[in-house]
Parts: sequence; C-alpha cells; structure tokens
Amino acid sequence: MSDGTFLLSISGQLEYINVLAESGSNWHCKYEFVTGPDWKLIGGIEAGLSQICTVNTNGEKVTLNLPIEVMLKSTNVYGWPQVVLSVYKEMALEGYGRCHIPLTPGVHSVDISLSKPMTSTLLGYIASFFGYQPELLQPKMLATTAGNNLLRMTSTGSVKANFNIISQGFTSLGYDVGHMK
Amino acid sequence: MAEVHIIGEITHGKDFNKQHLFCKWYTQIGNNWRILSGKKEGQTQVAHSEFEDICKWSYPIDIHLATSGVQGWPKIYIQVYHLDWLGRSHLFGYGLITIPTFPGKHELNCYTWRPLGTLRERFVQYFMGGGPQLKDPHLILSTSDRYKLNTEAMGVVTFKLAVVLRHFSDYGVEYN
Repeated sequence: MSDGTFLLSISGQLEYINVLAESGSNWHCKYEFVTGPDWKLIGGIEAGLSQICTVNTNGEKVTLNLPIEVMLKSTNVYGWPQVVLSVYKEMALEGYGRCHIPLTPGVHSVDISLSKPMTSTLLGYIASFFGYQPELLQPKMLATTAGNNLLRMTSTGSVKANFNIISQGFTSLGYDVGHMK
Repeated sequence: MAEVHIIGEITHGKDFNKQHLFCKWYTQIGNNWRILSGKKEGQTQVAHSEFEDICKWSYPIDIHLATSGVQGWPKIYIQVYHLDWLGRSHLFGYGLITIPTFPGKHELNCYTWRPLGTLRERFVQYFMGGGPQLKDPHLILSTSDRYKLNTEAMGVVTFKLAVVLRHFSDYGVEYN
C-alpha cells in the first residue's frame, strides 16, 4: 500500500489443550491479542472465550476447536501481535500461555506452553493446599513483560494452535522475512 | 538506515541440574546500531515444572534496531540463575548468541557455562550454593580475555527468533 501500511490476516483455531485432565472436569479457555502501539484492528474480535469442554476419560485432550479470525493493520513490525491464553478448569486458573503470531505467511502449527503463577506468601502457600490459586489481574502483562521478574510459575501443559498467515504490502515496504515457508 | 527486527521468545532452559530458574538477557550492539523501540534487556519469570526437567519461560522478545553498518551485529547475552527455597539466587550459567544475519525463523540453542572455583570453593558451593561470578559481564562477549577463565558446562537455553530485515538490499548488502 502506498500509505506505508501493511495488512496482516490471521485465521486459525485453537485446537486442543494438552494437560493432565481428569474425567469429569470442565475446561474453558480465553484468548486475547496484544499488539504494539502502531497496530490497528480492522476486522474480527481481539478477545474471545471458548465453550466449556467436559473431559470424559482421564488424560484425554481437551478439544476446543475455537476459531480465531483477525485482520490487523500496521505501519511498523515492532509490536508484532501476540496471543495470550488463559486456561481454566471449572472456575480456577490452570495456566497462562503466550506466543507470537508467526511472521512468515503460510500455515503454522504452534505449541503454546502453559504455566500458572505460584503464591508468594506463606499464607498463600498454605491456602494453595485448600485450592487457592493466584491469578494475574492482567494476563497481558506476560506479553508486555512488565513486572514478570516478580513471578514464579509452574508449567502445566500446552495448547495446540493453528495459524494461517497472509500479509499484504509487506515486501513492498522493503521488509524481508526470509524464505516463505 | 537499514532496519532489523528481532521478534521471538526465550523458549526454555534445559539440562540444568536444578529447576526454578530465571534468565536475565541483554542485547549487545555495535556503535553503528541504535535501538528504535523495544526493551534491550530484561528478566524472565522463575519457571519450574513438576514432571520434566525443563524450565519453560516463553518470554517474548521484540526489538527494533536501525543500523548504518553491519559491523557489531546484535548479540544477546544471558545469565541464568537458580532461585532456591530461601529466596537466594545462584548463578547457573552465562551464555551468548549471535542474532542470525539471515531473515526468517530460527531456533537457536545457547550452551551456557559458568566459572569454576577452586576445590575449596566447589566444596562450599556444593553445600551452600553461591560460587564465583564474573565481575564484568563483558567477559562473556570478549574473545581476548576468556583464556583467564576455568569453566564448567551448564544447561542449554533455547531461543526461537524471527529476524526481519528492511532496506538492506537498497544499500547493496547481500545476505543470501
């Protein structure tokens, strides 16, 4: 495009959550996009919530199959979009995950690893035996990295996601993202 | 000015003999280089896993650089620390990676090391932690002063980075 902008189309789906899920538990997942200051959403929704998936047998995949469809516009590669996921079992947090949207056009299968924060106080430690689980007020801070040096996290699993990336006006602005794969 | 974008993450650390690790990272650039936006250093959260020997950080990196010459191509150097149950942090490795000079997706392994003390220091380190550290982190980057060190191998820190170059071919710079 002549006005120095390029377009990025992200379409895909969150396929499944790979965690230790016991039968009878109910799972859901929230996703939100985090972008830099120059980025503008021109289509789709930047945050979404999945259905609730009940697990039937111990340890099976928690299938979400949640579609993601976003169109973004930007003048700057800096602040490339990231997705932040929050996975919940019943109403308790089971893990946060984040990943950058792939830069190269094409189909990408991504494993997003999940982790959950641990308590930082003695009281919280005791309470965690009774089901207390701390949560982040703004999960987006994982993408902006502000203050995450204060966190202690335990990894809990992963989410499989598929992304289809199409860009427009990217190479004509002089950018080179390498071999198209 | 040609531009370089480094976008990606510090994925995980493995083969360290302890969990509860965090990683401090810094970028090192030459005089011709300027950071336009993004953080040039940072620190990951403390990660651990109950079932495997991997610390998954998935810590994002997004740096926008401008350059007027390829000399001093960016490098990232890291310091890995272990946070023990008393809240003390112990050095668990230094390491260095060079940002690939080729655009596209890259998975980079940073093999870390740490200074090895004398027999007495190692004895104390085994029971109490701690151990020798570099006074000046630039020893990680220098090739001329490394011979003074005695080191031991630590774990591997994996980076997944995508490099985007802009306007390099306008200046006749050939990178592929």
